[in-house]
Amino acid sequence: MDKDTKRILLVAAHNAFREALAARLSQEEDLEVVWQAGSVADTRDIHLDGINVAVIDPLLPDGDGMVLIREVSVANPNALALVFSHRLDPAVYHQALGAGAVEVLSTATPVEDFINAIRRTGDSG
Amino acid sequence: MKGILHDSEEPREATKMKVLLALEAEYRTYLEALADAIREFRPYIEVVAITGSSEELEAETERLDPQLVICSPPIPENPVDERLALIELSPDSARPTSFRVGERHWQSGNPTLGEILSVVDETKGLFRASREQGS
Repeated sequence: MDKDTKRILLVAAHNAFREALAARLSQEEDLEVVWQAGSVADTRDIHLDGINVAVIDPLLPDGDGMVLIREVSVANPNALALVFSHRLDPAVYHQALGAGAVEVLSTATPVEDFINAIRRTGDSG
Repeated sequence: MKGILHDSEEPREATKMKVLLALEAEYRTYLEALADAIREFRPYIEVVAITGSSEELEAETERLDPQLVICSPPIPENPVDERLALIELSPDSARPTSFRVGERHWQSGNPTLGEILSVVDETKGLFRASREQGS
């Protein structure tokens, strides 16, 4: 694996959407989805060493995924967060940035732009 | 990613099976990722992905004549419901997704990509059988 490869934690509740997105991201030579989780609890079970970017859709079945932004940062200070949601009102946007997210995107974003946002997030550290 | 999701079978049909994938514009990231994933794991399937209204879904269904439609509910009854197979894919993971392949109906809560690919495979089998019966 190249040292510039971004190792990604992908958190989203919808199984098919998350798995499809993981497959799409893994088509990129410089991106590798190393962990997937569908809930807050599942994310807390993951060892986050080596993660560069945490990609989080915060609408999770067992709680607000916004709490994971800080938890990921505490567990691995080198991991940077990108939040994406279809409910992207100003309150969500400011909450995500306030919690430490580097990028906040809508799920209306074309997937190529989404991929570039992950690269920007990883490069911003 | 290689593994059990992949189907490397060469196509025997002169005409590719077609899948129409339609979600609301607010889910465009997921829509495009799902279309790309189906193309990756089932390379001999033609996948068209659209966002838009139910009228646009109807028009694209008429134009493309797909064997499988995957769309968010509610769906127009005609012509979408006349396809060989239909997945009413709920974008909300807490709500069930409805499947129909031929005459078989079922629901699944928060389905996986593998469940969707299984429906693609089953539809491909029906499509092949219908073509062989017609020839």
